Amino acid sequence: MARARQARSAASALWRLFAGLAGGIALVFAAALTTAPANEDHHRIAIAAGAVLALVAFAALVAHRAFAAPLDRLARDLAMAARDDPHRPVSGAARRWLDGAGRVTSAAADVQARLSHAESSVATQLAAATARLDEQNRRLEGILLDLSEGVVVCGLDHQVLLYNQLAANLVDEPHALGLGRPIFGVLSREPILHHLDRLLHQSGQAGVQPTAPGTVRFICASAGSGLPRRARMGLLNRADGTPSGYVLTLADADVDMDETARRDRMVRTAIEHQRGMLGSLRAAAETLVGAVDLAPAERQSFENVILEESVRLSEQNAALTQALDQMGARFWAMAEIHTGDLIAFLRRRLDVGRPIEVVPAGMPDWLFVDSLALTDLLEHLARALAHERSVETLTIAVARRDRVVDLDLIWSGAPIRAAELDEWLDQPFERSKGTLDGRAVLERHGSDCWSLSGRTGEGLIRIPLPPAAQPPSPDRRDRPPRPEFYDFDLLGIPAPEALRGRPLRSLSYVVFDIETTGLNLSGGDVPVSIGAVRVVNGRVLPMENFERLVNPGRTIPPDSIRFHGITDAMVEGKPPLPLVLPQFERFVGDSVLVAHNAAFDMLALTRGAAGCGLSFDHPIVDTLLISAWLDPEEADHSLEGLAARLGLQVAVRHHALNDAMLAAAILVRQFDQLESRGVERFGQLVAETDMTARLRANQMQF
Amino acid sequence: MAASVLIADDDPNIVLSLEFLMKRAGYQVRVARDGHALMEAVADAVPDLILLDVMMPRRNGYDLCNELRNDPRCGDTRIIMLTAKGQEVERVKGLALGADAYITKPFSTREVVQQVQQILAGRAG
Repeated sequence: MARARQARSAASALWRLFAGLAGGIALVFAAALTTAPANEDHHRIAIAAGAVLALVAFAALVAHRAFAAPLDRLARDLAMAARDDPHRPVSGAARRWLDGAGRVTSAAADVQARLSHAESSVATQLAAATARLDEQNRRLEGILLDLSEGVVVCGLDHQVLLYNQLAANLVDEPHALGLGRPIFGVLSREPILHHLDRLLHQSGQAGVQPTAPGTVRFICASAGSGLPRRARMGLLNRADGTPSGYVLTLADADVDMDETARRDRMVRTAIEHQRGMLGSLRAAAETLVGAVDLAPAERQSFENVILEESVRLSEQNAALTQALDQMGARFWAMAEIHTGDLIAFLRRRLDVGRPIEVVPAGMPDWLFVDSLALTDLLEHLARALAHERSVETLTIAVARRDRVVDLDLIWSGAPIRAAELDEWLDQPFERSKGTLDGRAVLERHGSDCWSLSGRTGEGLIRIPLPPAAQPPSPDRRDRPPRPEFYDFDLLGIPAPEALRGRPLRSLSYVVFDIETTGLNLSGGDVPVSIGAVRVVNGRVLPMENFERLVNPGRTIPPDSIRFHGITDAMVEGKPPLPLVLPQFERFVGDSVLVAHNAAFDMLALTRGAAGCGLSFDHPIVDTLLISAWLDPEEADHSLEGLAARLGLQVAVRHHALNDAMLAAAILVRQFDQLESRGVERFGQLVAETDMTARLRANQMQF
Repeated sequence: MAASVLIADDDPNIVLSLEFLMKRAGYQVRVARDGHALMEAVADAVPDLILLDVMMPRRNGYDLCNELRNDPRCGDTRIIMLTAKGQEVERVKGLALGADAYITKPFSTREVVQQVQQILAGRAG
C-alpha cells in the first residue's frame, strides 16, 4: 500500500488538483452561461472563464516548477540514494526555487551524509575487527606449527578445523588430513568416539566430578597402517562452557617415550638380571661357608660358580655404565652453542662487580651443553679465582681432543689444589638460590674438572665438555689444491739475529691467507681478500683477527670464484688494495708472518705492497714446509689434508678467515711436533724449512 | 731387593685380596686405610708403587695423587689409581693429575698384577 502511495508523485497530485479546479471553474461558468440572458453576456462569461482558466493554469505551472517537480526529483534522488549509492548528490535544480524546498533538500543532504558516514564507520570497524581476528588466527597458527606435538582440532561433527604439520607427519595418509574433512579418514573411529563420549559425559556432570581430569590419554591407531599413536584428547569449550569440539594431541608411541622412562626400564631390566647372578653367587658362597664337609671336587664347583657369577656381574655393571653414559648427555636443557657465544655470555657476567678480563684463545668449536648452567659454573670459578688468587685476567682456551672439547681456564699463578677446587665446586651458585652447584653441573654433562700447571707455568683448570654434532662448515668447497710454489728470493732470507735463539712458542705470529683473482700473480692477478689471525704464546687468539674484502679493480673470473667463492658483487664498494694493505701492515706489526705455501701469499703481498710504497720484510714461516719436514713420507701436505690428519675442524663463521684459522691451528700443533723432534728455536726452524724448500723445489722440476 | 707396594684403600674386603695378591707376586706390602695414614707411610719410607683408591674418607684420591706428585721424594714412585668411578672423564682426570695408570673396580686380579709388574718393570728400565 505504502509503495502505491509513494508512486503517486507531487506533480500528478498537482495536476489532479488543477484538473479539479479547472473542472470546477468550467462548471461555474457553464452554469453562468446557461443562466445568462444575452449573447453579449455569453461572450463576456466565456472570456472571463478563459482568463480564469489561464490564470489557474499559469498558477499550476508555476506551482509545478517550484514545488512539485523539485519535490519529485528530491524524492527520486533520495529513493535512489537509499537504494544504491548514499553518496549520490541531490540534484541542485531543486534548490534554485523556493527557500522551503531548499531547506528540505539541505536537510535531505544532511541525512544522506549521516547515512554514508554511518555506513563507512561500520565498514571501518568491521575491517578492524576482521584484522584483529586474522592476527589472532595467525598467532594461533604460529603456535600450533611450533608445537612439538601433532595437534588436530575437530568440531563435534568430527570435521577437522585445524591441524599442524607434525600431526600430518604422524598419520599414514597425510593427504586425507584436511580442513573440513572427517578425522576418521586418518585415525581410527572407536577410540575417538569412546573418549569423546567420556569427556562429554564428564563435562556434563562438571558439578558432580570436580576432580576428573580435563583430558584423557589413550592409544588410537592410524587409519591406514593401524600403527599405534599415543593420543590425548581435551574438549574445546565455547565462552558459555558448552563444548564445541575437541583437541587431539598426537605422539609417536615409540619415540615419544621420556628419557626417564627409558632409563627406568633399563635400570629395572639390569636389576632383574643382577638378581639372577646374585642369587647364584650368594647360594654358592653360603654353601661354601656353611658346609665344612665338602669333597674337594664339590668345593671346586662351588668356587667356580662364585668366580663365574662375579665375572658376569662385573660385565653387566660395565655395560650398564656405558649405556647410562650414552644417555646422560640428552637432557632437555642441553643445546648446541658456539664457544664464542658462551665466552661472550661469561664476559657480560664478569663485567659486573669486580671486573675480570676474559681473553678467548684456541679454535672456536661447538658444544652440546646446558649453556646457562655452564655459564654459572664458569662465572663461579672465575670469581673464586679472582677472590682467592687475585686473578684479573682469565684466558679461556678451547681445544678439541678426541671426542671431547676441553675448556681451559688459564691464569698466571699456581694451579689449584684438588681439595680446594672440590670446595669451590661444592658451593652452591648464588643465582640458583642454593639449588645448583658446580658438582651438579659437571655431573649433568658427564664431566669433571681438575687443575694443573700449564705448559709455560701458568695455572689452568680444565673442563672437558661434550661437543655438538658438527654443523656443516660454511662453504667448504672441494677445491683443487693450489699448486706448490717456491720463490727463494722471498724464502731464502735467513732469520734475523734477534729471533734466532728465541723459542718458537714465545714469538708473536700473524697467520694469513690471501685469495686472488687467479694464480698468475705476475700476469695481472691481484688479491680479492685478506684474512689473518694472531698466534701468541703458542695459542690462537681468534678475537684478534683481520678480515677484509678487497676490490681488485677488475672482474673476477668464474674459475677463481669457484675456488674461493668471492664474487664481483661481494667486492663492489670494498676498498682497493692500497687502502687495505696499510691496515694489514699495522695489524701485523712486527710479528712473524705465517702462511700455508707461503711463497704464493707473500708474492701477492709484496707485489701489492710495492704498488703502494710499503714493504713486508717480516720473517716468514710456511706451515706446508714444516709439514713436509715433519712428515716427508706423506704425499698430501695440502691445508685440507693436514687438517684432516690432525683432526682439526674449523667452526668459524666467516669464510674469509677460514684458511687463516686452519693454518693457525695447524701451526700450534706443529709447535708440539717440532719440539718433540728437537726443533725448539726459531733459527733452527728456518734452517730446516729452508732446506726442505730447496729439496721440494728441486723435486718439482722433475 | 723386592719392590715395595703401598696399598691405600679403606675397604677391608678389597685390601684382603690386594694384599694377598701383591705378597704372592713377591712384593713388600704395606697398607694404609686413609689419606693421613698414607702420608705417614710415605714419610716413613717412600714406596716404589702405590695402589691408590680414589674414594677414601676425608681426603680424596685425586688430591692425594696431586700432593704425592708434588713431593720431590716421590719422583720415582708409580701411582695406580683404583676406583669404582668408571666414567671416561674420571680416567682422564686421574692420568692428568699424575697417575701412571687407572684401574676401575671390579677388575680382573690377574690384570692388576700384570699392570703392577709392567709399570714397575718400566721404571727399572
